[in-house]
Amino acid sequence: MSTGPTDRMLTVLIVEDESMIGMLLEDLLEELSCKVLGPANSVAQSMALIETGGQTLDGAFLDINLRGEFVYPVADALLARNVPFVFITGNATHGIDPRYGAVRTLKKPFMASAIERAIKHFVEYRTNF
Amino acid sequence: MRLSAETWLRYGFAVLAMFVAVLLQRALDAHFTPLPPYIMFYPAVIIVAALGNSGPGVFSTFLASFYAGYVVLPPHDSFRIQNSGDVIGVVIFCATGLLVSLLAGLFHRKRAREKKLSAQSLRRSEDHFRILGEGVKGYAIYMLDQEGTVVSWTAVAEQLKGWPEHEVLGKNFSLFFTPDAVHSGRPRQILEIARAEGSFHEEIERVRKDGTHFWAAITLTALSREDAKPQGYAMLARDISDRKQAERDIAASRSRLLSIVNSALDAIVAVDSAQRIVLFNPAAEAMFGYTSAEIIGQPIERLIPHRFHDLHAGHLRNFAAGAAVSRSMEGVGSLSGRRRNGDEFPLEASISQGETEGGKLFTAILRDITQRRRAEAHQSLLLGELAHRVKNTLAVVQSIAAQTYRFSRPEDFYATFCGRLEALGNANDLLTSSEWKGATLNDIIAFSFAPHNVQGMVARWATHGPRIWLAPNEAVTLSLIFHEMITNAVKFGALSGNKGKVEINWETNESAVMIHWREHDGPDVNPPAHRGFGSKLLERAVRHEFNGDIKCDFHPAGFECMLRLPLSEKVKVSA
Repeated sequence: MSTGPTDRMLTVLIVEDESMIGMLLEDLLEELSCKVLGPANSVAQSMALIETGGQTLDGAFLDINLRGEFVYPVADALLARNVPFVFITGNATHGIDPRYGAVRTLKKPFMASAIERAIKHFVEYRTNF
Repeated sequence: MRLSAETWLRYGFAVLAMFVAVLLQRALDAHFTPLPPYIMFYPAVIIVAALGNSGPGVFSTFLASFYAGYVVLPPHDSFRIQNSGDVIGVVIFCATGLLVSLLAGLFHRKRAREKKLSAQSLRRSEDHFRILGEGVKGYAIYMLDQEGTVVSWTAVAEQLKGWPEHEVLGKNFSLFFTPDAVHSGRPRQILEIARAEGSFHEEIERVRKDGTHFWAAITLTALSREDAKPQGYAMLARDISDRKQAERDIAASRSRLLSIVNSALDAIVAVDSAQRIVLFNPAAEAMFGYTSAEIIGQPIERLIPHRFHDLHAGHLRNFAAGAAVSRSMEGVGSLSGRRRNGDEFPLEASISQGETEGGKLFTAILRDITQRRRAEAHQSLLLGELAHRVKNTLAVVQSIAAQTYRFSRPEDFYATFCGRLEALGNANDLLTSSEWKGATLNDIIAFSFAPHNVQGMVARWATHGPRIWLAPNEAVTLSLIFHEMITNAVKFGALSGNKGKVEINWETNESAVMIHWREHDGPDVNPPAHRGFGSKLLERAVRHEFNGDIKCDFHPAGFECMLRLPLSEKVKVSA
């Protein structure tokens, strides 16, 4: 791992409709020296953020259920851009569309260490491609 | 030997006839030249023999001969008749008299025999009638005269109706009718119909001697000879109480069954072996939208969506071929029905089969489970929602804990954290009362003040503004925002003294609701040395949740804050 988070700030998108949780993630990511996009609380808002700042996007945390709206279009947009992401869900894993079965999932409430692992995953991803 | 009165009469008549003949002879002799002595005796003997039979005939012949020989023929007062011509006359008379008597005897005997034969035949026919009447079990046969008076009776009739022969002969047959029928003139009507049409038949309620009623099938036949005028009526009555009772039992059982079928909440549909609907109860009418009249006789496929027709036919074949009398259709997957308007709906069915006189009958009991399916779906949605919300809330708690930890002094952590949890709990209560549909701004503020509403605090805050509705997440966030502001006011602001007040006014323009928080009459205002979680939370929450902004001003007269929340689907003016 020649290039660590310190080489260049990791840019991470947060999609989370619960503002308190968004804030928590924001704080945790900032502590890990990440630049945060969002938190976005809807698919439309997320897509707009991807359009404008998506060029340098290194990863994303996606809450699956945004007040009844599924985050999958955002996931598809990120897959198309080859951006790694993890899901955040309050539901058990079986609530996830099987198409995204391979995607890592963080369950609420989450440990700071889980966020760290996700960030490491994003860094590895950036290193390998 | 004792002689009968009739014999005495006949012989007396012979004596009398002779006496009359003698008197007539004497009378005629006085006016005419002496007549032949037998001129009056011939007709007398003939009359006596004709009316009185051969015995009196012979008797009167001899009486007349003695009288002629002793009195009339010379020598008088003696039987020694001198004139040979007279002797011949006596002999001829006697012979004629005997001959007449003999003929009369033959004639009488013939008549007597005929009479006897006729009587025998009558007796035999009466016997036949009686045997018929009493031999035919269960049928009371009796006769009525033209007026309906009972003129013959049988043991069976007695058995059936209870009256013995001697009590009923000579009585009118209206005796056997119920009082109502008698009152309405039914007995006479029946006679008239029978007279007009030859016979009459009906099933009618009748009365026994003991007053009990029974049902009888009666046939009244007018009896007439060639001249067409009825001589009377033959009545044939049969007790049909058992049959009537059976009919009533069947009707009662049928009506019981019908009332069950008609009042059942489940649809009941029966089809025959040709798959045609033969029974369709009101619940089925309500379920499928067809009336019973229009669907009876139609194929069952009318009630099944097209794509299930083959499947259904297969199920039915299997069921018909199987030994099971009834079964639930739960195992065959989800079933659907088709309403008249083409709508499909899920249903639950059990089916039974039975042999009836008309062939095999399949009965399905159906329940529309649209509501249940909807409720189940709703329930599973609610469970998912609950799981989601619980996990989310835990994450929110986590967030609050993390940020409280970060921005507060360790000795303040517990109290601050608990205060925020309480605010979160209150916001949840408020939303639960609206089934998580949302809350109004007014209610959010009131719930946020609730933990501080002691010792006259109620009078120290006031709100004014139009009715604003917020979606659940926005309501929770705004609750936390107001919690922070109220906590600050109570700790450091206007509510920390005894007199200070808080006014919260809001108004809307076309794009946003502007909430103006103003404290006044409180202690001196000092801007805080460092901005803790409270103010950071205010700014971030307003930005993240509402895409709005907040401006705080530590004005010397009192803390003021302007909160701008853009209007959206989640924040709107409500009626």
